[in-house]
Amino acid sequence: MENVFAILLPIFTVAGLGLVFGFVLSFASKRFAPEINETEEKLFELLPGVNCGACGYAGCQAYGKAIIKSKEEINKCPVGGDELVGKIAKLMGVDASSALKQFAAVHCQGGKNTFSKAAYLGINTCAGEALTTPNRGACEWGCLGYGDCVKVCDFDAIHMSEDGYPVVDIDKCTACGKCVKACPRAVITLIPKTQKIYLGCRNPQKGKIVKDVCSHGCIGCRMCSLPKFTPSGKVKMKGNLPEIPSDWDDYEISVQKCPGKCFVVMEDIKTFSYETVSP
Amino acid sequence: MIFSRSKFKGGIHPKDHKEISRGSSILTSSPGEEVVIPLTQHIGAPATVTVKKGDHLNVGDIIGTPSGFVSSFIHSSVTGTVKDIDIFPHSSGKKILSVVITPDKDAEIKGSDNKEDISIENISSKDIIDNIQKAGIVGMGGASFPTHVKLLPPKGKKIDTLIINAAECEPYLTADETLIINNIDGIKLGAKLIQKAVNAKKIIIAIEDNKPNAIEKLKNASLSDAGIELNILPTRYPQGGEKQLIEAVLNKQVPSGGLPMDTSTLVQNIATSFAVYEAIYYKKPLIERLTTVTGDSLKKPGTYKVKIGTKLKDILREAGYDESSGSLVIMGGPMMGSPVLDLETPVIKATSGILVLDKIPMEQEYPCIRCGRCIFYCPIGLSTTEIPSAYNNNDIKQLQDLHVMDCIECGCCSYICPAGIPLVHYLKLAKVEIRKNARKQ
Repeated sequence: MENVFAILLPIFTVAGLGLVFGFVLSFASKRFAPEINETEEKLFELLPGVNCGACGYAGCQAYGKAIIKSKEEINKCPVGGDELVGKIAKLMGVDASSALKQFAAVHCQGGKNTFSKAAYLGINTCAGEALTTPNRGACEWGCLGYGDCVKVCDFDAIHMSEDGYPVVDIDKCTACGKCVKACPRAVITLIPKTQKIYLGCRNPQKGKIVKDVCSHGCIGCRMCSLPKFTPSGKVKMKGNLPEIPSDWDDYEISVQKCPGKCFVVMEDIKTFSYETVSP
Repeated sequence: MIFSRSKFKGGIHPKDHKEISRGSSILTSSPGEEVVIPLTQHIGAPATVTVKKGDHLNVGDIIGTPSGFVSSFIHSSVTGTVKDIDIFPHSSGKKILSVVITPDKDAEIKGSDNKEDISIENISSKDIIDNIQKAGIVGMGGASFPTHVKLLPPKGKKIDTLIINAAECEPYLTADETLIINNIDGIKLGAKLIQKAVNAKKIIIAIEDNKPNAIEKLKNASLSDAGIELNILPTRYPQGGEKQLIEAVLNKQVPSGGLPMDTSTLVQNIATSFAVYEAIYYKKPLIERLTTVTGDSLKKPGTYKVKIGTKLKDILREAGYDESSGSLVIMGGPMMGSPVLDLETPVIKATSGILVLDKIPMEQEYPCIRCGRCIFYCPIGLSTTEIPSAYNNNDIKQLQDLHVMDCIECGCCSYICPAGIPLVHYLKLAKVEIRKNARKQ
């Protein structure tokens, strides 16, 4: 009998304690429950959750909170794009102002097409060369070719081409803008995915200087701005470089005639074979 | 006279090669077909241009006025006509707005021999500083910080000691040495003027013991009658760094992030001291300086008196440089100087040397073996081994904790690294990252 008591006493003690704590906890969970915001929960589920920071916030949760609390605009997530804006708009009950889906365009086709007077010996990064050797006799505006942009990409969307300049995989690119910040020469910008063509050069110097340093540079010949080649007249010159509008359609003659071959047509890079470099 | 052991930590002993350009005489060079005078020759805001194309200028005419307190006047170094105002190559590697002047062919060389009769007792401190500012004088050791700013310490800071820096610790350079041999009286008066301007109690001229001729000259110059002490230091790079020199001479440490005035000290380069003398006694602005032109392959190496704005190709031609050799041309010393790609680059106020290197000692980079030599030889005492990885991980907080901003970029770590890691390059990049981060916040 004593043996049975010795077993039962701890069983009932522990069971009793469990019961008491159970009541306390269930009371506390009701009494001190945090306010669960259903919209917030749903919104977090909608956001992509990659925490790339392209919206300007610390992560997807921080952006979600900003949408709810400080009425942040809902089209700031480039990863989700239009689809996400639609979903958020439905959830939050606001107008779906369209977020233009963008991608990173590399405005340089230099790489091995450039000529340089001197070699750079130092840390093999673009930032390293840009700091200590602002000008090594090559193009001062173009890609340095060490792939700082390749290293920062979280989406494996940017690769070094065989010609020594980066090429963007448009399907994978989410326009998070990390490569734009990483490039010390500001060669990369974000442009709308609907754009069919962009200029692969940003050297605003005179034609002769450009020709001395690169075979694929814009020499400012103004041909693409002439009505003979662009009947719609959408291309305007700004200094020595043409300004390419996002809705330029009649570009075929200009692409053929361009002496520097400096236009990049989107259909071409979509079929580009990628040569991956290990960062 | 005090003989003391250098007290600062670390430092290296590179071979000095000063014998190549050592010589007592000053060689002269003519400015060539045109001179290019950049409007940025100092730390601080660029000067505002005051001339226009076609203007005729005399030697010493102002072509740029300071656009802020930390800025400087720029003067024309030749008599001639303004040909162009455009961007031109600069020793920093960037292209910077400059004034191009074509010198008159038959311009008579105005001798500035009329020394004014000024006694140091009568001239006021304010007059001295005003004249220094108007003469566009900047620190001529290489950093080119406007001198008048250094002479006006903020309220509450006092300057007891003036150190005249003649250490010239960079290998190859002999410009300061030659200046001492030729113009010791001017240096003495310049030092007294700076002392008067900041009301310092003591003047010390600090020199390294690898310049026997200059030391001899200083010893015979009866410095003690003028109340100037001479301090001969054992040679060690980077003794000529401001903070290292204070530690070596006075055994005082400048606090992290602080300035020499925190130890009640002012350090001025010996060439600055001479420029001050010329500015006050001859009313001559800073339009020419002594520059060492040196290198094994040069036919006529030596210390040249060059006009500010003279193109490197004109000076190198005079020194017998073979342009087809493809040798590396460095502006400044081999440790801290910067390579020049375009020989159209002009000499500026801070150009202490032009060095032609035929062989570039480049090592392949190997992984760090954790020997710690960079830490041992770092004059600041930074944990240099940690910095490359912290930079690669973009860890700003750790970089700040490692006191990267205290780095003086002397290059001892890169010089000594057995694995050939360009450590000073990492430090420079880390500094940029920290500044970028600070700007964001």
